[in-house]
Amino acid sequence: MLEDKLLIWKLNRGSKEALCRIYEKYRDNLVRIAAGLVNDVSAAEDVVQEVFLALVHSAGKHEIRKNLKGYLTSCVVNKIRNLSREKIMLDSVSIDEVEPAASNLKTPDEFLAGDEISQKLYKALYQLPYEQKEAVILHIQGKLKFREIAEMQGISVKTVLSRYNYGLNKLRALLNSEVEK
Amino acid sequence: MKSAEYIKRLIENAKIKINPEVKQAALKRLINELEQTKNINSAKLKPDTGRIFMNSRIMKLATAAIIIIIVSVGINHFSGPINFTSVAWGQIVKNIDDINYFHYYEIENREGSLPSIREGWYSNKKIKSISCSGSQGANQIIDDGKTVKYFDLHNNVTVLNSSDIQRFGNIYEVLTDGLFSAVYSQFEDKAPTLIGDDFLIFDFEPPADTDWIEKISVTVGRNSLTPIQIKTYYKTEQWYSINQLLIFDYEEPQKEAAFFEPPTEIKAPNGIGRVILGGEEVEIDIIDAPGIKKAIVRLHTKFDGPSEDLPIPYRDRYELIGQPMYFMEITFILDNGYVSNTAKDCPLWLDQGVKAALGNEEVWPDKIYRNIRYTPVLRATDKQDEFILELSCWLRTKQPEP
Repeated sequence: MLEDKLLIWKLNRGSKEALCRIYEKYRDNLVRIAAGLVNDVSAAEDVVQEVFLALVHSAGKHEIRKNLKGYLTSCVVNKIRNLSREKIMLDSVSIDEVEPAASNLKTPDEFLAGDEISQKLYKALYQLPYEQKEAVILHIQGKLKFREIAEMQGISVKTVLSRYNYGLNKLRALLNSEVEK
Repeated sequence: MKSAEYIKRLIENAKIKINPEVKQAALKRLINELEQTKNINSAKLKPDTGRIFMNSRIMKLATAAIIIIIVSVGINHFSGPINFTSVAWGQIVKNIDDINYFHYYEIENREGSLPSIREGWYSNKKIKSISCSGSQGANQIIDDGKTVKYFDLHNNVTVLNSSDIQRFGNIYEVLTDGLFSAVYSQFEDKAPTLIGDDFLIFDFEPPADTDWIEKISVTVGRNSLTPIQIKTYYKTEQWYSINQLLIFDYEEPQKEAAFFEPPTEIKAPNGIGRVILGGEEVEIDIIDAPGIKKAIVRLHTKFDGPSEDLPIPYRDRYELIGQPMYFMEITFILDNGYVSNTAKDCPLWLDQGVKAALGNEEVWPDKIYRNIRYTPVLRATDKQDEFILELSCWLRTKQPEP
């Protein structure tokens, strides 16, 4: 955490090394989180790039009160939510739907996963309602506490927990049915 | 039926296809953007408020420690009547410029790693320092005013950059990683916050946006008017609030010029393997590196393009060496069967080492801290894309050494 504060301090002074370190440290995981949420690596890379661009453009003005990782993650989540409001790319399907609501979206195995088991996982994630998916991904991949997710989403910790548990159970069901096939 | 725990692990370890070229191109764009950003504020330092931190128990303990150290150092370089209440920081800044030699210790707490203790010597724009953290991670750093080189325990050069002294212009700046100038350039008229029998203490407010730093404190010899300690206090709940402590000793006899020369005798590596560019993974048996059994490596990329296409940390060295560089994937297996995380793009140079490390508490199943320090060196063979890879490695733990 202290390293992050030092990095932000240096970035505020225009340090390229600090930018590179922040980028190397967080970029891949942010892309992973975003990819899980939007079901598309290129779109995820674009979102993360925009977040880093915003970070660069406001260099000299940052005053990050919470941790940098949490800050960047919430920027990514907000960016995706804004995009979803614009109905550009967010794929939110009901729990019973199998096919994506937006037909122009690629299926997860076309663009996402680096191995077979990850492909199955992303296929299953693809079928979760967005709010549940967000709770699961932010808690497990983003390592955010339920309290932090609740703050980010503007809901109660209880609701986050409930979304998380529903999401995880749904994933278990989907992945187990995958095995049984 | 898969358990929730299994699903969590699956999500944690899920892989996506990340295109390294896209990643590097995106970083390049960000760097260009940063360079074009004109509105970077310069350091905004608060005016002197002359705070004295004698209220906290930690400060009292720290002050007591300072007294003990100062008594043992006993500097008497200068003499003459001085009204110490009027001694301003500006006078000390002027003295600093005249210092050509000193011996020092640097103690630093590092989050998520072992504390670092180094002993160093500065002489006429040259620095040599040695790690005192034991054989698990000892190394030397030599800055000759042109380049700075890091050496591992086998005396391989693991880092080569342009000189820190040249970059920062001042040894105190080098040692505080740029914090010192922010302090002394802003406080020319500052008076000491504490006057002892043998020392003066100047406390500085940190730059306004370094809110994790409580203060920077400089202890100055009362007669010498030179710094004998610099402490950076971080805000933390833990008992060690001093993040970095520098202790200066001006009395040790000056070292000969040869002392600052780089070591020449290179020791044998712990493992050797033959690797082919773009070839398969190769298993390398590791010997005489307690705790480490094997390394699995794959040499995947040769790079000879423009340096600006490289991540910034490698550019300096790439330009200094003037040779292509290579990248490999590497994973270690420990004696107990634990498998480390994988470094996907470990950089390599021909006949030059690289400072590299893998692992912390999170990596291992038992969540115990282990860090593998390693130095890979690539050697050419008579075949163009075939190389000998030499690996030196050490397993660092938080357990006391035998």
